[in-house]
Amino acid sequence: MKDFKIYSPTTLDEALEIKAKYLNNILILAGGTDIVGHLKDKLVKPKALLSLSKIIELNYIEQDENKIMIGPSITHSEAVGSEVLNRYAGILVEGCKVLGSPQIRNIATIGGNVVNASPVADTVPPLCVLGANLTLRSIKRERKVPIENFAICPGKSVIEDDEILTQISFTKMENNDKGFYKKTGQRRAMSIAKASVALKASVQSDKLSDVRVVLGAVAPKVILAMKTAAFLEGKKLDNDIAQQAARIVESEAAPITDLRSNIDYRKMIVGVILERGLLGLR
Amino acid sequence: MRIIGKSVNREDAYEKVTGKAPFTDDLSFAGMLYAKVKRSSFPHAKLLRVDTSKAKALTGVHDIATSNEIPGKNLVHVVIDDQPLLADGLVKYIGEPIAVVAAETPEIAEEACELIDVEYDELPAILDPLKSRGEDSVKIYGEDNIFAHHKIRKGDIEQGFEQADIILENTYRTPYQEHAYLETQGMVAVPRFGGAIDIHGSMQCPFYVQQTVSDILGLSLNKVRVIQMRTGGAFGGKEDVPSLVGGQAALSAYRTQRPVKLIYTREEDIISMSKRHPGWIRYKTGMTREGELTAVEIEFIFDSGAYSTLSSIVLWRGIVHSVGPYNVPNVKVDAYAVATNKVPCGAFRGFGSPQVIFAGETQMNELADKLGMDPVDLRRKNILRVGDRTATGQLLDHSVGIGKTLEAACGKADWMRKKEEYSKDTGETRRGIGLSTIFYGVGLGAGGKHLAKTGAYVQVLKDCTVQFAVGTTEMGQGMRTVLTQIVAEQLGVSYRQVFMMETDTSRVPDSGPTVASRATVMSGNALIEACKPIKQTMLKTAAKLLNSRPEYLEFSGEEIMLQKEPKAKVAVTQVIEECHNNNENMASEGWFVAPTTSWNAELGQGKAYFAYSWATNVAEVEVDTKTYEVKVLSITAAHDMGKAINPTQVEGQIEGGSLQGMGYGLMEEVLTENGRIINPNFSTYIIPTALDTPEVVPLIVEEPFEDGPYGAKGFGEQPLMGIAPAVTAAISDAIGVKLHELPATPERIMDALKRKGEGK
Repeated sequence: MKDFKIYSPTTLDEALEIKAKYLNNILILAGGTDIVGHLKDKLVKPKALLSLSKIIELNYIEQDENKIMIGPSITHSEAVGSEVLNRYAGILVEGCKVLGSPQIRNIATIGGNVVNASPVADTVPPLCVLGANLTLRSIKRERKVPIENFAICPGKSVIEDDEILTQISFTKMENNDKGFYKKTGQRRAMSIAKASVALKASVQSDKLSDVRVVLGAVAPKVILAMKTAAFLEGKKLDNDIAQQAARIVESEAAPITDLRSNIDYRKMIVGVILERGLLGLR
Repeated sequence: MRIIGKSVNREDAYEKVTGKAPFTDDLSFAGMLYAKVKRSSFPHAKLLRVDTSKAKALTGVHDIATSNEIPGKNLVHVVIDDQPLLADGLVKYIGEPIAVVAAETPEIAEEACELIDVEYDELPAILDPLKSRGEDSVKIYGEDNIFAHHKIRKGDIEQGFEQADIILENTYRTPYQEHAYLETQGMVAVPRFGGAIDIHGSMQCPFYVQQTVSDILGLSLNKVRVIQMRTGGAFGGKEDVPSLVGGQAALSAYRTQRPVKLIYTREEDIISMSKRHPGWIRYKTGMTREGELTAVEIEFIFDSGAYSTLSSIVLWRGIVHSVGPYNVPNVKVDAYAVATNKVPCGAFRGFGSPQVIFAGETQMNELADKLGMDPVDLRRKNILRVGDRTATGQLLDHSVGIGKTLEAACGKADWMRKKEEYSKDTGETRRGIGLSTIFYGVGLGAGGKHLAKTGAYVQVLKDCTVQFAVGTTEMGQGMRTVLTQIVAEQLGVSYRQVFMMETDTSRVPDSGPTVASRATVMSGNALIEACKPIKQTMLKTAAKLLNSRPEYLEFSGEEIMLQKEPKAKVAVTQVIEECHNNNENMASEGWFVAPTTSWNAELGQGKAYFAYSWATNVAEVEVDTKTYEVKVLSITAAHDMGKAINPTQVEGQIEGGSLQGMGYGLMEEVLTENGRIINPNFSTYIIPTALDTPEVVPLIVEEPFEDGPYGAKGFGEQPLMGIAPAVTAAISDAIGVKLHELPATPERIMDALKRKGEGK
């Protein structure tokens, strides 16, 4: 486990240079709650680790008039404690609150959760419904990727070997914007989702518009539930609509049977979560 | 009494809470090497070749031992001698040890393990316990793959079912359960002068480890000393298997003549150490319309894994407990421990009883439903009372507290009112309440008579402090505190003046294992015996000081006084000083042999255990009718343990056991795929967290046991045993689903409801 170098630069420029030098032989340590376990189990054997923990310029939550910008090394606990996020991105805070345990939330970062490209990541569905963009930087260039285009399959994403995630940005939720993130797991803490649903919509006198619905843990990556969102667009919220939406979202989920749950239960549960979440918006 | 029955602080609380307590991995010796174990990758295969040459060539590797290098017998003795320390030409489960490497660092040892080249010839494996007994099955043990078959024959089973108005027959399945102790297995072996060896480690049963190390190294027992370190949880998981760990460390240490540390990783521990046996149970109950049991017929199978280990006695406890704490005139039980190519199962809190209790108590709850009778009333009709005989024909002459636990638990939980109130729930979540009544045979019983002994050593020092030693161990259950209380009470000194030395095979004679909730009764009684001559000396000395006679004196608190007026008295400390001044022997040994038990194996009849403890559990749950998620709201558990020597510790046992039992009922399950355990860590093997913890209401009932110290019967396993059926009964009460398979995950509840829907 110890046959690697550890870099802990203090500036982003240094980090980008190191990353460019090692490319896929270096792993980025942004909290380490997943990576350290993988190193121990020898699932990954990097030549070096690049820790982001000392780079102050990657640790921020900022806002302008319309947008929020988050640095990748913001921990889940920091996000939960952020006034800005609680005010303008409550859905993301909900996701941060239900990840792991207090100990894990104190050290695990949002950037790490995103770059893992896991279908069960608790911050990704919220960021997806918020329409987040990811800023990926290398020494040569900078580009922005919509978060829903980031992951390809478990553990694989579009990030290039010389790139580092430097920012997560999204539009603030406005007064009429409502939403939720809810998951079902095997227990009440330290729990990985069997299925999760995030939703954001503009709600005016129970009428929905600009609906986004995103599902976690029911496909190889976090997926947009386009049909469900389209169905809900312009609808007035009531029991019947919520139930119909639940049936549609079940058909959009493409889960597998694994250690945590099975196909039937997962399909059923995304429907229940959505239905209850929708009724909770009234 | 001054100290007995008082909730003094745990003797080891401070050092554990502050992290000062040294565990096995904290030990270090000059020149110490680190061992790692090379393990099988196949469930059943011939070992064609074990090539260690590349591994030996690695810098820092000092020794690699395979079965060929074992100087003594390649054997881990438990009951039937079928398990080798290291596989010899054949592996029978994934994770079976093949070789032990000793190297300068754990990393080098691990790398060397990877360099050991093992050539396998894979054989067909038997993985399904229900197919193990079949004629066509691959044979991996004897002619029939059966490690043990135990039975009970009482009364006339056919007549019993003829007398029944109602017969209920169901099949139940229960999962593997992992102990999930905080500290993984570990041992440090240290060669000593004269060819002797010391073993320090985490364990329940030092005398078992001593036997295995002696067998493996071909050393006489007097050269093997085993010292128990602080042990970070065990739950039965450190009963027999530490002998493997100790044997492996000892083998490396003996060959290299250097201290060797062997600490298992969590994954290694989960794949290769013992588990609770998965159970398959067919249970048939006959009852009259009035709710009287007429007959119980049970067949059950325990998936025992590749070697017999403790399975025969686990199965035996299983049959004794299979009928439950009820009067049943006609009983037929057949139970089989069968071999499969999977990890050997062994001891786990309850020891073969939680599986059959889940089945038996579910039967009782469903029968109450069928009769339209309250399950509490059904218990009242059938529970055992003084003068009754158990299913094994044992006359119960005293200390039968089940009726009291039933009334205490149901009264405290407000059973009638809640039952009524919860039945009116109409929303998306529904509440329910369920019950189980259990009994537990304390000690090894007739199945382990030859081990039913214990020794103790007590010494009163000149500064008026006391040190003592016993052959049983502290594994977190609280024995240290309870025994310290007993010694302090006996000798008229304060709790703080008494100190228990670490358990060490060289201090007291072989005292059998620390299992079966036996330490309080066995070591407690041995300590009382050890205190007797010392107390006599003290009375004799006090008599001189008081110008009286020893027989006129008695201990009273921390003084010795005349029994009658004028009640002259002298402080115990003064007496102790005087004893030392007079060169009196202030040290003594004590010995205790358990009250007799008996067993007729053909009929399964006899005095199975010297005493029974009793309990009633009431679980209340809230079930989400759409997601089938279950929240356990509360567990009210009333236990009769004879005497609560330390009530807070008893309550702690009830809280911990309830939670472990709830995990067994709702979420815990070791999963295998082609014989491989696929969830060997705590992110995939799911145990309850603090947020899943219900309110636990512990209730103490004391029906004294005349042969127990201060009336105590021992306490440890009972709180886990009956929780699962109480919880599933509560789920059933809430949403009307019948659950016959554990754990009752939301997925299983959904399936059971679907089947029920299709049935209609």
